[in-house]
Amino acid sequence: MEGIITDVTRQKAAEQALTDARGALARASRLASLGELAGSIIHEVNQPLTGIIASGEACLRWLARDPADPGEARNSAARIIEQGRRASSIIAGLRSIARDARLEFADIQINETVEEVLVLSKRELERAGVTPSTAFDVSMPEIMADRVQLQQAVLNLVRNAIDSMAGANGRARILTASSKVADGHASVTIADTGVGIDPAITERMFDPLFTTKDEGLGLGLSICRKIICAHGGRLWLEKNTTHGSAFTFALPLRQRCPSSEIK
Amino acid sequence: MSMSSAPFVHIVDDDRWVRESMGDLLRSVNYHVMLYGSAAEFLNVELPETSACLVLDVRLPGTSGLELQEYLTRIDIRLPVILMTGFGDIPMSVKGMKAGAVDFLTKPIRGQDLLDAVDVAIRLDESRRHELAKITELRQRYALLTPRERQVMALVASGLMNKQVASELSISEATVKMHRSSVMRKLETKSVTKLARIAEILDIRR
Repeated sequence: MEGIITDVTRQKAAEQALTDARGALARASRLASLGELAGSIIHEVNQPLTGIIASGEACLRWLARDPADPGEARNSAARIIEQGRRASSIIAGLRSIARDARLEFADIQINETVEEVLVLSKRELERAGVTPSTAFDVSMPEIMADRVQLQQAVLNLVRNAIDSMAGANGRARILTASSKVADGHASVTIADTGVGIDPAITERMFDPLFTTKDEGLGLGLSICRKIICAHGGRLWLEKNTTHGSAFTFALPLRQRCPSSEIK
Repeated sequence: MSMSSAPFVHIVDDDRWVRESMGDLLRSVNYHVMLYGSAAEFLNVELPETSACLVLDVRLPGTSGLELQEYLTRIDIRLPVILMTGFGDIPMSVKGMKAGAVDFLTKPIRGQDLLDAVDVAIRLDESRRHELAKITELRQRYALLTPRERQVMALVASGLMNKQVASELSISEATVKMHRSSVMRKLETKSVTKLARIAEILDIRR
């Protein structure tokens, strides 16, 4: 009898874990498509803006006519209002997404968190012929952080590393994820053996919408930095040579006053 | 030549509000405006025989703006094209410019930029139509020439003297002179230089 109860409890716990994992995955993939989303938001908002500007100018011109045409001017004004409404409904739609971006802090194992991203990226790594390797500091204590958000940041760094190695021929493609505890901080480094980053762009590469990729929207690193900053941490380019680059972020071991939102 | 009727601006954008607002602005400065939600809608209408231009969104469902532009070039509809682009369509616009677009405007578009681009495009179309009308008129005049007059014209235009033309055609120099003045009258020109230029435009060779 006791055995059965234990089994049921275990099964329930396993089911719960599975549900949690699915939820986390759904959130992660939603964030992964944030880049795509930004592109379509810009498009969606530009549409009514184009209409508002054109109708506003038309309205002035109808009024400036001799004689003025108030009927047409009124129609132009109505178009402006309608498109203003459209724009605001797009913004309203965004608010719900913004709510999802609230951070949920919990004690997490950072090594495990990073390792999971590598597991999630297994196929991508294989396709790109990249060998992952890890060098985690085993003395790493638990830290207060939003696991999913951190994984999003790591995922972006891993994707950049993979892209950077696509252009590197004639040498092994190795992605190294390492961690270290020092000076009250937990730091994580994602290093690659890629072609490095043009020194001319290292100043701007964290800016939103700055990209060197044809298909990119220039949000990856800026999102990374936002997430790390929201944790009270820092993200920087650790190393940059033509044979590889490395990004490191450091998070405080003790969260004094974690901000609850990504701004 | 008569340019009495206002120029036409055709706007193709799948967003109804955007095309209506842009049409609104263009109507306020006296253009005739026609609005279309897709490339197919545009291709379904008979284009009026006045100067016109096409304001075309690059991103369209179905046939894209660039595909429509290519198609029009292929079927020899030489309507000046202004491309409109949203975020992230810059490489496409470069392609469009290379394919002969007059301008490309990035949304959100400033009203004055739209008006300026349309002004340039319409003037381009007017001068093209003007050229075309001139050639048509010359063709009509040329059609009035007799076969003998055409022979004389070709030879004169190629730079021969009356005497040479006479011997070439085995007719008297007086007859050449008569045909020649008839050609000049029918083509409404007074100089041999202009005659030579007309022959060149109409691709007349001896």
